[in-house]
Amino acid sequence: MSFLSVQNLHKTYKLKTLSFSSNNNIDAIKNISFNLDSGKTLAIVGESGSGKSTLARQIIGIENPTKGKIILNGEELNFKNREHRKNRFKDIRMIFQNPYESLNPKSRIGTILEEALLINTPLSTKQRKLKIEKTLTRVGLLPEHQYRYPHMFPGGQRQRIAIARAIILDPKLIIADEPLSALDVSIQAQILNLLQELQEELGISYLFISHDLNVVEHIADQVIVMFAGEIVEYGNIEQIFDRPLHPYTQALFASTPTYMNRFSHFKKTKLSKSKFQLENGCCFAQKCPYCEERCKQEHPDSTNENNGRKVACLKYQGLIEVE
Amino acid sequence: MINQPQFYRQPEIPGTFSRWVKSFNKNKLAVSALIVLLVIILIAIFAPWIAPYDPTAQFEELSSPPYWYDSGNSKYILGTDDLGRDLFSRLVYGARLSLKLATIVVLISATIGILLGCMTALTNIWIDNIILRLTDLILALPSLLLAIVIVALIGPGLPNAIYAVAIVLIPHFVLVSRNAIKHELNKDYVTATILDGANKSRLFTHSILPNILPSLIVQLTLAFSTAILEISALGFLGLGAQPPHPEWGTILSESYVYITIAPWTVTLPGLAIFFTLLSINLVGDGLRDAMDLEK
Amino acid sequence: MHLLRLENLSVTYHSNNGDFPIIERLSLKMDMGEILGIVGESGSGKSILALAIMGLLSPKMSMRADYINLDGQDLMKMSHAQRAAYVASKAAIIFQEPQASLNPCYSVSSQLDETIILHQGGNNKLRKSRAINLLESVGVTQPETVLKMYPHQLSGGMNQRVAIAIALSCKPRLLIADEPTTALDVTIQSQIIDLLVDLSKAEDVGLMLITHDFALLSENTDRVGVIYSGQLMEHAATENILSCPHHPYTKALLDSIPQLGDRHIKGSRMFALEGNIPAIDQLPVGCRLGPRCPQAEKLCVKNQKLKTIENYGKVRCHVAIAHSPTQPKDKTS
Repeated sequence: MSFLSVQNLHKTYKLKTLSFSSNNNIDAIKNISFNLDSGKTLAIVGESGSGKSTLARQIIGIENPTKGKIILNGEELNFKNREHRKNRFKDIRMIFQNPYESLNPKSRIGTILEEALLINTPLSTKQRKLKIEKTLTRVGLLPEHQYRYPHMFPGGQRQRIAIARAIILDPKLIIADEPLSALDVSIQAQILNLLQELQEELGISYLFISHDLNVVEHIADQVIVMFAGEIVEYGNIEQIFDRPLHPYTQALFASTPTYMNRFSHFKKTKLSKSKFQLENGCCFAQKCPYCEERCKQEHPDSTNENNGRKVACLKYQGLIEVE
Repeated sequence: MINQPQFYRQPEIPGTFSRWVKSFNKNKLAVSALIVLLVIILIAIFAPWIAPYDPTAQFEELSSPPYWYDSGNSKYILGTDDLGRDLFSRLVYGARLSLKLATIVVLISATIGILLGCMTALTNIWIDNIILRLTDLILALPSLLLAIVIVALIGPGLPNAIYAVAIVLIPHFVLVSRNAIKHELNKDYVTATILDGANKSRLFTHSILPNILPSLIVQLTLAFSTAILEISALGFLGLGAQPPHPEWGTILSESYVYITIAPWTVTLPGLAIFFTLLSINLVGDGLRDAMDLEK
Repeated sequence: MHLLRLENLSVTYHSNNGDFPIIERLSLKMDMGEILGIVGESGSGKSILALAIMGLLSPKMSMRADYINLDGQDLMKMSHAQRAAYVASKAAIIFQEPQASLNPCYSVSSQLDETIILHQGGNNKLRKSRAINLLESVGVTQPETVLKMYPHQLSGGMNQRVAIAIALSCKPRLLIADEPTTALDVTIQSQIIDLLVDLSKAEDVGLMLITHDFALLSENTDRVGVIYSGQLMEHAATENILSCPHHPYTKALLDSIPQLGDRHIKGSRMFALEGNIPAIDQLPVGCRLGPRCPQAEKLCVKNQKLKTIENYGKVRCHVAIAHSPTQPKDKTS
């Protein structure tokens, strides 16, 4: 039994307009299923608009999925039940992309951290203070930093504060939404190390959303590659990084700058002529360098490869032979 | 700044409010305007003790000029008007009346406006649309014209003038508070607070309110000066305070026909309005600068 | 013949609390058609360098230089108006956010037309065909349709292509790209970089690629300059820097970028520089990297000079110079 299990998750947004017609629906994510073991890291890779953040919002419980199940620790999460919802907020915490926006500019660091404790735990004032100091020290800050305001810290330290806020309730799962992309290169490594230390020490699972394959390879155990709201490839880190099968994954590797040039033989994406997606057919067809007539007609179901690996492509077996 | 050596004793970190005060104090113009405004407010509060005469009492010296004129009378510092009333006393009581009316107007319009603004920002799209279209309707008309129309409908007089000006000011509060809240709602820290488990009232009081406070305060000062101006304008047009009320606009309208004979009866109330508005607006600007600094 | 030569370029920021150096005595050379990478973190002054060359500094900043020689003429000897006209005809710049650098009120065609009128002129028909040619040369598949569109109707990558087309319309000798792909997705990023490199090669245009991403530079540039806190820390051929970086900062940067193939092993940590980048009003004494440097010594509190190492390039670090191997190591290491 896995720690977090997501089954056939759909989310459809209704466009908020004043018109009475209800046809303005957008499928943000379609048919997402995956499992995550306790203490492991699952990375979600994809471009902006691929539905990564939407998926995170469903799991954390800010939004309610249209269809599908989320099972945490063998218990199905129910957004509508108040008690359930509160527990979920306690067990699943989030780290945001932009540390300049995720901390209330008018609150002291101590107040920001205390808020979560105040709402979710029965601790006394003194115990809360001790906990805050302990947590601040744990993420590499000083206890006296709790009296300062967010604007007094540089980006890297703000992200440490955001991490402190996430771990202060001893969560089981942390969703990190591009936690490094707003930081400087030399600071990124510090934060990445901190995240790994915390995972090994506290046994937290991560759902790590990123567009940077280099970072993903360094931190993840499993990888989901998303395109246009669908999972195009899903597998272990070894499976995906040693032998990417889906054309989109291959294009991602070909586009990622690195000075080792391991994947230069993969083809990059095509420039697509149309902005709109095909109604039937593969979501990637418009940009796929291997696209055929068949890809525009049929929607590929995700095929199970060995060991739980999944690929959603009609032609990937043919591609392997080409190599 | 952050990595201080351990033995260094970090001074107290000033709170948000004291930082505002500090940066406001750096603005010399705004501070002097604030002093002027405080003086005007003190005069208004202690009017019965400051004014030498009753504002409606009539004396024998008609249109006596201020004391610095050759023909001036030191009994009446700023002279008397055509009916022989002491102008200084009238202006002092006028300050009291103007500030009192403006405060009432701002209180009414701010309460209603901010409540409506919060409602539009936090509830569904339909209420939002209805209230926004109504505010658009009011904003589309020139504010003074609208106030005149309202007074014409419900009849002239002080209470009606107050209602009219308050109605005119409400849309500004609605828009400012709605936009500020909408702007804050999109930020990540609000989501983060929701994820802390905060309920709606806590979210509003602890996260959103401190962040929209600066724009509300600035809007309050602006509304205050607008209220004073519009009440005076209504008084001048004979639609607001009625004579012999010592309201600045009313004093002006009573005496403007004598501008060639007794110019001080026109210029002095005019100057009183001018300096009050100027000091309020300068204080408002100073507040805005002081509170925007940390962005 | 050099395309661009700067000698001792300094930029100072004047604020209420005093003057602060943003760039200190920076010297650079670029050959015709060369691709030079400038790498540095935010606040290092790399964008200010680009603005200083283009003459676009804000009024709060002032610059000094011994000379800035662009395509044979010294910019520092020209008047303001002369300089603006000369730079506009010889150099062009592309910014990070294409959405922000294009005017949302005008269609692509009118924005392109504006620069074409300024530089080539010609009648309506000629200008239109030139605009279409430009868009085709930056890889826009349907130039006629794109011409009629507005920036908000185009994707980020497409907008950046339009921005590049506008930059190319003056037939520049020098193209400065300031973080051209930071706001774009990975797949689009590689398309745009490929496009810039191809254009530079095809038309012999010098390309200055400013970025924080070392990996991006490694594939495409001839030489790399590393900037930290307004100083040029290391300046050498790309392969030299990648195979054996001399400066501790360059080493740290390369080590702290996770590389493909660098898998997560329990207990293993990446190399990370301690601390934060110094704020502009709190620069350390001596070497700017000093407080963060893993190899710092007593001598590091002295000001470091940029020195040339044979067969390598220039390095600003006395430790590195003292321990320098004369020959760069084998590339495969």
